[in-house]
Amino acid sequence: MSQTVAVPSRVQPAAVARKRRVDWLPYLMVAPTVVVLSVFSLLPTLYGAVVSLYRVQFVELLDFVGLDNYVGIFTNPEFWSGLRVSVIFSFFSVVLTVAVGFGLALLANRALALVPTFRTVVVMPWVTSYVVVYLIFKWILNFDDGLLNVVLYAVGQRKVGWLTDPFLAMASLIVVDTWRAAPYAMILLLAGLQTIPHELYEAAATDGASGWRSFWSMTLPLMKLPLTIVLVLLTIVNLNTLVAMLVLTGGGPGRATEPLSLLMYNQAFQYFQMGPAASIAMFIFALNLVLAAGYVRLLRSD
Amino acid sequence: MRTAGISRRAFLGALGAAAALPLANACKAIPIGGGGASATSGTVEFMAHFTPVGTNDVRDDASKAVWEDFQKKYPNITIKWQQTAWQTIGEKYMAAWSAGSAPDISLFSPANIAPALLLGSVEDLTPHLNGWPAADKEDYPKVWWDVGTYNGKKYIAPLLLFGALPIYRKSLFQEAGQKVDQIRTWDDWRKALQAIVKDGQGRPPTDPAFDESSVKVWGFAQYAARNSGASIPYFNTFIVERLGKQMVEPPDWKADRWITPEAIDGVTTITNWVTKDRIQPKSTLNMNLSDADKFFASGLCAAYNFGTNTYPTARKNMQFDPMDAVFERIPSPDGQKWGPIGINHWSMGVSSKSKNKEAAFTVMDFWLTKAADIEFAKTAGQQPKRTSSLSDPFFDKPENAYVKTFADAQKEWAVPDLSAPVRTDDILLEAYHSIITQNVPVRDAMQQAYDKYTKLLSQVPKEKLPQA
Amino acid sequence: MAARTIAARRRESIALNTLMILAIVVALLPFVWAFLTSVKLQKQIYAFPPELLPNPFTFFNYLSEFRGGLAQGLFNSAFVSLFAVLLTVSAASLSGYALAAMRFRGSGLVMFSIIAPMMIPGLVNLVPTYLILSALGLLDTYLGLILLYWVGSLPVGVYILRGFFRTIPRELEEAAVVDGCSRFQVLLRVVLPISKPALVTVAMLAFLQAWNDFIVASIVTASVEMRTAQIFLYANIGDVEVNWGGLMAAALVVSLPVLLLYFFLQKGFISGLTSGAIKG
Repeated sequence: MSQTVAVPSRVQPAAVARKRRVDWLPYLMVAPTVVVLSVFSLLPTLYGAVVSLYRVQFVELLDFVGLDNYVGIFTNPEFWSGLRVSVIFSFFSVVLTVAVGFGLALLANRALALVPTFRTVVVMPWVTSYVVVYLIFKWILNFDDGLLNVVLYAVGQRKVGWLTDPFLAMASLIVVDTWRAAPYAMILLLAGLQTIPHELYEAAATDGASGWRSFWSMTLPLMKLPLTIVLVLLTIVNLNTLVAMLVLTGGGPGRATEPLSLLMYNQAFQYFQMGPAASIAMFIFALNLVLAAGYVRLLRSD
Repeated sequence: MRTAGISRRAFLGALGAAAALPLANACKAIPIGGGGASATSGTVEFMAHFTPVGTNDVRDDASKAVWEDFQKKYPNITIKWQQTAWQTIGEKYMAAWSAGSAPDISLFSPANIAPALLLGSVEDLTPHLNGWPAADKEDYPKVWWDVGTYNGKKYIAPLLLFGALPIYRKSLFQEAGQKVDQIRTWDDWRKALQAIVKDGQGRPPTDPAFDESSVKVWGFAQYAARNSGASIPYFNTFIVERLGKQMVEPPDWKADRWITPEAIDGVTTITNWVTKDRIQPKSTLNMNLSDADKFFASGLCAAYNFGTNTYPTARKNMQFDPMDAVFERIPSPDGQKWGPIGINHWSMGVSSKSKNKEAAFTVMDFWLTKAADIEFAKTAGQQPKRTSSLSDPFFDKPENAYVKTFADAQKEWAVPDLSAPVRTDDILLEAYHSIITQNVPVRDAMQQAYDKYTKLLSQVPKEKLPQA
Repeated sequence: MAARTIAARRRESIALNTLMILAIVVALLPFVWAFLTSVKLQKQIYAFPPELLPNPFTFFNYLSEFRGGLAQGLFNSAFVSLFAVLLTVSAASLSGYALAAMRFRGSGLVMFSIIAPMMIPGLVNLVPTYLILSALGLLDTYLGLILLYWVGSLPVGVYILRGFFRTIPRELEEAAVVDGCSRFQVLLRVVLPISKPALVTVAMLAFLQAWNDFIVASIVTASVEMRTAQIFLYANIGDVEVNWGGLMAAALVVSLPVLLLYFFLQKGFISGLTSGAIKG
């Protein structure tokens, strides 16, 4: 295979491209990716799609039930409350993460003495394992013995039910998730910011453009692609978020923080209902696709 | 306050090593697992969340001592350890079994034994256990035999058998003019705890101006976070007492009892502890087992429902004199009789696809010898399973008295966790949460739980429902 | 006028520095708490109200984590992560470039087949993936881990690199072709050097994904020798007790290599900027 790749094949201007001979080079270039993803990702996913149409006992397909599993989940009120939680969590978390991450990236792109330290320290939340981050926060946010409430109480304030009040539990999840994911957005956006030549800013400055104006008229349009990438990636990550809820709230109080992903997890590994679990997964998949396509269109039309 | 001089792990490690020597000899006197002469050999894969190769748990140390004895006695059998996180051990076993690569022995809990059984992945141990000497059979109490027995067949052998009993901090009760040994009914219990709880201004929970946010010491705590394996605290106890049956039972496993007036009444009493009586903090709705243990050990509540499996670990970290916290029996609605004690377990099961069942049985039997039982009791603080183990002088020491309290309670009225084909814990807990945080009427919440359970149960093929 | 600009600049610099310090503090505080916890004994950790300073101050937790096998875990994690990074970066560069700069039939389908798996919640794939690995005899092997980590970061890698390759002006590539380079050489000599920031990003993402994974490793590995650092770290979260000190100690140790790596790789961003390609 490597031999074939090494054979030089010239770039042809599109107009002259010969249609008869198939150019194999791009196929060879995508081959490793496609093969490995097919075996370990598409195949299991395909299996998931099949499972969603069957009554299943763990891995054994019992009988074909068509769309019964889907009908089952769509008529389940838990599904709709899960969808609501997923959408609220993802939306606010993505918006907040991108906003904070972009701010951090803009700071990190400045030539100031503090920047190298800043860049390193700020990524710490993101390089630490999920569960540890959430365990630390659970400990900080506990009602009776959490660090935050102990401090609040010591300064004469009332303790706050950060994780026990339905509304605050959701807000806490969003803030903690932003704390963890903002550096991820920062890194992706910083890579984007650094492809913008400095000369452009210098030119804008000599033209007398204010910082704000050059940000709106120059930085933002040039950052469209990195921003789309970050929005899409974060949305996907957030719709699949599970560990945050499992560790911090377990989905509670009640079902206040139980997203579709947790519902799916419970169906799969608590009740071993692999069929309904797979149909929830397919729904999340479709939701991801629609949202990703939406983002891309939104940013293109702008 | 004492600070731990040397690490408990180093200390217990040394203890385990010292204990190993005499135990090696003691084994020879044990009938089961003492057959030594048989030519069984081969490799046995053993999957567990505590193993001789682990370093995080006193149970690791106990396993290590037992393993060392085993190696001396059965040099022909090699045990390959697979250490797995306890949260995923069930899924991992089932996936491995489906792929044909299951370990020969795995640990099962009430949470994961039912699905593994429905899959047909666990070997029936009955023929093997029938071959045990009568003395060994009789040495194990009824509840040990009841765990994991379906259709008259026993599928798993409990390695750790434990239950939870109320524990009270005596001095706090005394200060409030209460006596822990006079708490016989749930009413006594509520009143005693209401006498202890005070807010920052010294107001009791019965005062309308009571401020939950400034309470220093709560009455009762219990882990009750969603997806933590928690259920409605004491729910099964209430059901068993009032209706004489467990909340779900074979042969039909139906949940009709959840919506009886007795159940509604019980759940009302239990949820009132949080909402009306205000002896239990709302923050318990966000605690898992280790959080709740820590809550009690930190001195934040006067009463707790302590598992005998976790108590020995938590005791080392108590911020008060551990002897001040005493185990008592479970209250009941009328006080005529103590409440029933629920029995939980981690048990050994043999894969139905195991290629070396004889060797697997040999290993399992060795982990069930009296020597191993006492090793787990002494090194890891676990409840001894064999009746004869209790005569060891170790359990006469005051700090180990809880072992006998537990054994007495168990002898009198023990109900093993029946492991329904559909997990009930989180379904019930969701109802509990909705009653407390959303003011859903108890009847409606229990009806919803009943509906959810019934729907899931209908997915299980009838012919596969485990029978008693 | 000039004086006002200098004053404005100083104000701006103060504001920016304040913001950075604020961000540093917010990012760091939980870790300070984690560190303080890691040098306490469990008994003190249980104290209420929480005691800020360790008494006694002890490295016991660090020692006991290393005695328990943390070093082996770190080695295993490093080994599989590095291979996963190499495979991810090379495969993602190749396919990202093909998708960004070449026209071929079915490229849309290829792109979809790469991005789609990313959007499926990984949990339902767990069991079938296990069955496939088992059929291939890859359970409890380094290769099994490396393959799954590779698969885990490839889609994001291709997505990011394709995005960046598309922003590279076509003129640069055409000039290289005129100079007699093959398309493969164009990728190697022209495109990759000026894509360093993106490559570093993809490498970091791949490394971190492999390094911080718990779920995949908990399914693939079985024996103690194969345990990754995360599996080892999670063992501190027991069913009966969380070993808080050990957990925090291990978590801080495990985070350190990634932080160091990031610290040194930052220069990759800078060099990507300063390399003559864009200016020249």
